[in-house]
Amino acid sequence: MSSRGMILGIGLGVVLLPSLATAQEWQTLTSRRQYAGEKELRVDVEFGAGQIQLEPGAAGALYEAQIRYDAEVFEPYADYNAESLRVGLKSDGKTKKKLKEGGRLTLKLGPEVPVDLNLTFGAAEAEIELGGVRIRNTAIKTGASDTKLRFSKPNTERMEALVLHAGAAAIHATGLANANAKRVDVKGGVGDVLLDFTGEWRGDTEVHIEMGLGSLKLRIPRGVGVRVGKDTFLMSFDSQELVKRGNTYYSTDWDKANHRLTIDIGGALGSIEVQWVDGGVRTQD
Amino acid sequence: MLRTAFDLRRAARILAGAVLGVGAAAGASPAQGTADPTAIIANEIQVSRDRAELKLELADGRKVELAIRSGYDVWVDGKRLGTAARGEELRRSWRELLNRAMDSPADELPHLLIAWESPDDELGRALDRALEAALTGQAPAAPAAPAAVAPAATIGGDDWSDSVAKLNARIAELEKKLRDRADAATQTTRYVRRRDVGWPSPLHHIGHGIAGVLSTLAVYAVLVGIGFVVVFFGRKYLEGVADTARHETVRSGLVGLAASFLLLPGFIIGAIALAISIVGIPLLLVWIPLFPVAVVLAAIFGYLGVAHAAGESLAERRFYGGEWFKRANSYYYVLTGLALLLGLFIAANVVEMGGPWLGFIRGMLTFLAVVLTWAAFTIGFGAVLLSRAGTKPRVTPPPTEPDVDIREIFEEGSHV
Repeated sequence: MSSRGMILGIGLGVVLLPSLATAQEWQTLTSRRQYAGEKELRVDVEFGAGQIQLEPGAAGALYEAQIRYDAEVFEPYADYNAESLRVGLKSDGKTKKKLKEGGRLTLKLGPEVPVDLNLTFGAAEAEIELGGVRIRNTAIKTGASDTKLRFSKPNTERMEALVLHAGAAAIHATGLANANAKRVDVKGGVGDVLLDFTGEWRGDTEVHIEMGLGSLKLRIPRGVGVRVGKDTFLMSFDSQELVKRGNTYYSTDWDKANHRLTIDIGGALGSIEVQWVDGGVRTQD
Repeated sequence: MLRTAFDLRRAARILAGAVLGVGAAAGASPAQGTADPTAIIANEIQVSRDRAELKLELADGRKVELAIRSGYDVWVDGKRLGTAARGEELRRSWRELLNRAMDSPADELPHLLIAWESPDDELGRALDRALEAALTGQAPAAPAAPAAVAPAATIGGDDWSDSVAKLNARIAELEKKLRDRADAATQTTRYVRRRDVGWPSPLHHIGHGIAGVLSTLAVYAVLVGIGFVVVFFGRKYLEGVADTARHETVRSGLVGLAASFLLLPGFIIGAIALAISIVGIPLLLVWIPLFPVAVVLAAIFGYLGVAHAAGESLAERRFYGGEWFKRANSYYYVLTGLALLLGLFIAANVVEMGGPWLGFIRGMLTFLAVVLTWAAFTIGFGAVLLSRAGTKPRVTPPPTEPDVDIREIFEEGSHV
């Protein structure tokens, strides 16, 4: 188990252990809707603690949500109205019962409709697979979490922005080239962030990263032109194969590259590492 | 007996209602099995201990809601049909259906729901018919509820039947309250029993221990953060305090001890002195808030200085030659020194996880940790005062050269 996982485990243990003796009232809510010619879908997810799984749904489905939750603490909602879905758990804030075990949310999004996704969650383990979903915008905001974001298939929409904001968290985002995003914004307080830009490149991407304290690993396929600008304080930078011109680092093929990745990094106390991946880039024919 | 009698009457009324209300649909049930069900646009299923609900939105725009709530109460489209006589069987069957529906593909859901057969219960059959009617579109689902309840008026035809219905509703309500209170009483009994017996829960100790370790780690993280900032902006002064604490440990301790006793009198006398002098009155406004702040900052600075000294001392013992140079920096000293100073707290919390039988060892470790912390603060505070906040470090000078006059040696040589 990684040190990060161990810390998360201990944290959850502290929350869970003292009150294991009392009973919980577990409920399950499922809500699903078939695709009926919707032009777009806005999805707002709010989830406190537990596990989140987001994945592409079956053809013909608009969405499918399943929530397992402690009814003594939370009330679920899955409201669909005018091409907008709100799903999650809310608490009246009055209950004094301690949260013993987080719930579980599984959300599947259909492949037919362009989606604007807003995902907000607290202390959670999130597995988010957006490969195969037509994503126009994504905003993921999290507190203390372990988030794995994957784009295993190319996004047929050009994504305007992929925003990742985390407090104390581990974020592993892989296949980001498949996200087909114009802009990626990452803000991290404390934690460890992996941004993997392998996949199918269809356009250039700008990445803005603000790190507090932690490590940042950039996995970049060879063949992509890379420019890294950094404004950091007490942050080591392992700039493998990048050439410094002025205050900016460039890959040697920056001027000739078909696709370019521009990265601006700000941060304090931590490390930045660039890893090159062979054969990790595909371009659209 | 009374309850059974009521249920029989209810069953008779509901049966009649069902026959009158959805008779046509019921009569045509074999045909329904072959009819194409209306497509389900959206569905919502909620299953919990005392509730199992199904909400459907159909392709023709209708919305249907079917549920069993509060144990055995059957609801269709927001109307309560009644309490099922053979409730447990119906409830189980309905919950099984909804659980299967949650996992079934969307296109198979209508067939799955239509295929459901209720147990041999009149209300269950009414629920079944309402579901089938909704999905086949051959009869509206909504009338199912009034149909089941309506016969009360036709059979009774007077106020008596209405009273029985109300009485049944009241009985169901009271039963629910009774169940809720029984649950609450059971939980209370368990809690009281556990508290009275004083069962030594291992989880309790482990939880406390982990919480203690985490809180110590949090303090450690905060102190390390402050320490790094101090090293970054004022390494020279921190090293001055650390050197003083290291080389003048006893003296720093005594000065710190004396200062801690004199703090309050000094503060009061200073305030009085400023107050009685006209010039000092404006300074009093600064003295009162800043004196405590300065003392706290000096104490923290001193504590970090002691941590630095401890870390440096440890590094000298652990690393030699090139390794020493590699590791030897103030960040490392602060990091390791604070770990040394807080290590006993961690050890005490770890021992606490072992259970109450290790209480003595835990107590000893906690006591030692407190004494060590107090000593570190006192020595550090004294070192801050002695070294003027690190600007004039008190370091024992290195051994001096023997006092030999070189000229004399050369002169002696020249005489040879």
